[in-house]
Amino acid sequence: MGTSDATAQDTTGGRRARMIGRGWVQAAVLVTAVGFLVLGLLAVRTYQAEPPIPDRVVTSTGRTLFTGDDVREGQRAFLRNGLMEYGSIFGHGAYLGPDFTADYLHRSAESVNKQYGDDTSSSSDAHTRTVEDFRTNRYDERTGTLVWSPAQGEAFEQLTGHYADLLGRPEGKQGLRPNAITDPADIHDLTAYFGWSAWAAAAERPGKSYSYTNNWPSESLVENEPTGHTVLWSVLSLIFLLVGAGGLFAAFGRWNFLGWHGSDQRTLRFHAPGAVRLTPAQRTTGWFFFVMAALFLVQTLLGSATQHYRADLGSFFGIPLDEWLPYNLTRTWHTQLAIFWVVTSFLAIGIFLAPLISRGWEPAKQALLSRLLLGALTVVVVGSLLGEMAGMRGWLGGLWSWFGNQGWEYLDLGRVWQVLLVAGMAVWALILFRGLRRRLATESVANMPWLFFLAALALPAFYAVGLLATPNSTYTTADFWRFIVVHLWVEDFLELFTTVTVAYLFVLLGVVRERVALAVIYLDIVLYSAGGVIGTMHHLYFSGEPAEHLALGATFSALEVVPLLFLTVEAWSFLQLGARRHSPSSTPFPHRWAVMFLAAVGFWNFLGAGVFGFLINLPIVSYYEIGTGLTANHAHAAMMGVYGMLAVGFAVFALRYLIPEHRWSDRWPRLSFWSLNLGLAWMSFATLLPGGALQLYKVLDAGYADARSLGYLRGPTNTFLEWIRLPGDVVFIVGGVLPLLWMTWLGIRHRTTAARLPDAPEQELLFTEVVPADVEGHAAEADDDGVPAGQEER
Amino acid sequence: MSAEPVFVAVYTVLLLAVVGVLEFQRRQPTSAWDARVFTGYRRAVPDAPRPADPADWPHSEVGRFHVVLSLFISAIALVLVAAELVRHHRPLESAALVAAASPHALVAYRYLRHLRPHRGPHGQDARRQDQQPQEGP
Ligand SMILES: [Fe+2]
Repeated sequence: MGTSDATAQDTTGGRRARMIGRGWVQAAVLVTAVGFLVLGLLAVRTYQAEPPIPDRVVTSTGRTLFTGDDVREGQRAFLRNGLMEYGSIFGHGAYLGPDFTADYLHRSAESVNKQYGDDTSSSSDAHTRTVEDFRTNRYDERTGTLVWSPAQGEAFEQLTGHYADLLGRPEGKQGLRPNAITDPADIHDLTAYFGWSAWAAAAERPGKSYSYTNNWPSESLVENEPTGHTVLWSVLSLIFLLVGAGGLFAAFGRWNFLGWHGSDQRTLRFHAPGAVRLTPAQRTTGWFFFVMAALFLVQTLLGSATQHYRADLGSFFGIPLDEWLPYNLTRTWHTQLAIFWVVTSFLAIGIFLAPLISRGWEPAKQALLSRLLLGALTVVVVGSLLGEMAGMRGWLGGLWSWFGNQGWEYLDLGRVWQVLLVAGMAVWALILFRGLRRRLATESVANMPWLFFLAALALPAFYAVGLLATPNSTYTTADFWRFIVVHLWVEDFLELFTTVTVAYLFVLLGVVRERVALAVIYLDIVLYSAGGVIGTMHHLYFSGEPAEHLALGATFSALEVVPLLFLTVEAWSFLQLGARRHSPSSTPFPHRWAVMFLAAVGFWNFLGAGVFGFLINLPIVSYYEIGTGLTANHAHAAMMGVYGMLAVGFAVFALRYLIPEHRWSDRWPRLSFWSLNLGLAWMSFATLLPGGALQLYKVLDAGYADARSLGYLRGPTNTFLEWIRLPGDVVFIVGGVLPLLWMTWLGIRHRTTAARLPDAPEQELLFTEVVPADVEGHAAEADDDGVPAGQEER
Repeated sequence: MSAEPVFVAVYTVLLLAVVGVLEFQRRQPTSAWDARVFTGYRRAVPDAPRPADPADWPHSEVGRFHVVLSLFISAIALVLVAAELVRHHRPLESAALVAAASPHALVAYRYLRHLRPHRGPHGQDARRQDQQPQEGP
């Protein structure tokens, strides 16, 4: 993978030649292509091996309990009412309400056992018969009929009553609004849906000795225990991790990865922010960042309301909050806004960077397009959120999935809004293309401007995959496509866009050489794609996929930790280069706090994504852990810690130019930086980690259904831990989010008026390179890595 | 002795381990030239540049970030234990909780002292420099 065959000065056909060795490009393409090939095969297997929905479920005495249409209608009712943001199916969803799969399985097994003599000891006759009822797969593919025992039929009747009570309670107090679901037909269908999922969780796959969900959840009444695969692939994935890390470690020692031959001796003069003239489109990003901060504030406030339900289900300081903002709605908004505000910042930084990459050139009407984009985005955000409320309350009638809520967690928004959001991101990519096209025309496709554009293009492309999951999809296939968005889009393509953008920021600031940045980007693509693409399956161990998803998911997602082990230093490596002790800039580095936020990204990437993520990644851990507080712990530390901090860092970077020098104060970013980091640490270490650990213990001790029950969550110890995070949340919101909102407000209120003239000469905007006199003679022959050794200033 | 104070005491000790890991991390060199990614580079270039001075920004911030974070983790431990003492304070429970929390108090005290000189001239300097009016290119 040498890089010596590329020289920056070569041009072919008017384009600047590839700045990096062909090996890098080939490796990146190959690794990604193989990953997607395997992913494609796994998609096919998903459709082949998902749990079937029988045409009808009858008892052996001939009574029809429910039909396949009831199950499908039940899923629609489940999604329409926002129940996936209340409880979960197959462990996926929200964590306040029960896991309906485990809950139904446990309750019905208990009922069946009672009917057979009420003896749960493992040698008893009642136990044996119960296990027999649940584990034997009596689904006949030819007739489409599933036969349940009369006892299971009786349990179904009982549970219909139970769910009618839980979901339609006139006084609420369970996290839903009072009288949430009262239609008996809805309740019947929902119970059918839960019952079907519980059947799939215990009935053995044809020809196998484990259930459709790899024996998830843990339930002693039906002898659901981890499968051999679950244990085996846990061990093997650990070995893979060690081998992968060791291999990379050896490789780093062998090759000079970044292809440097000497140290960098340029002297830079950073342009003072006040002296940098912004283009009209760049000035519009002030509004983007203000919207971002406002959405962030709303998101955290909704988060605290959501959290309040976990601490105290009964009341909200005397206000009937659950009447209008029940848990499932606040959580829907909280998770949707987490994506929205981060994406807003990403869109803004893209628009901000494009003219910098084009050396100040900007086509006409770019600012107008940006403003239209922001307007459209705001409409989609507000419209989709209100739609979710209207959909859940049944105000939209048959249009609920179009304008209301499709209901799949993280893809909650109505289909029309989803299409509009994809279109908005596509328009954004178009805006970037307009702004970059002059530069793109002169560059090899393997160079940074193209990588930046392609990474941006991946954002609408992979978000669009979510359109494949509809309320009519079967659960397992919907979950597959859903996680292409939640995992592949967020964990891989946002990560890629992040790496490219951050690297480019440093290149544009002049502190990192373009070729070094390129090498880091390609290394990043290779390492993240190697684990991350197939690693998507680590979310799908137990959602009805066959065992190969579990095996491949475990193995490859373990490899995801490898880049986290190595590339967290990358942020600091950039900074080191940024410090340039021996070639000081005559003007100070203006982005101290933006860089601090990027450093925080590195820290949380390691802790939140790496440590907390790997903690729950092994199938054997995930088997007991999925859907407990430890998942929330990983989610918060990784989503806020990595993408949240990054979004804020981007904002601080741009605001440094948007806010005039005399209005700028480091006080606000400093306060925000410490409050966000410490508030997040408090959230994690005071509540989510201990609470999650305790809940995991409860799963092992009393079974999954019990640990996910409202009874457990409302117990004294859990309630105590839920309350203890209050101080951290206050620090986070008051000290972290409000100063940020204030800063972004300053960015609009005092937005710098000095705009760049359209016909101003193209130039590097953010720094001037000063070539020292004694180096000047060699500068022409020096390659892009820096001057030849020996010229180092000592 | 009920289960809850036992859990809190055990978790408090675990947080002490977290503080220990953070302390270890703090002492790791942040110089890019020491990073694992550059192992091959160091071999290829015998004449590698001098490593960064830990006192230089941004390396100077690594220590502070980890110290403040550790301090906060210890604060969490102390708050947890204090709240738990209000809930459960039979003699044995109190003794266990206080025993688990006392190292945190010690650590917090030491870190607080450590922070003070660092907050002094150096940090101030950096800020003032950043706020200087700057002339254009
Ligand atoms: Fe993932």
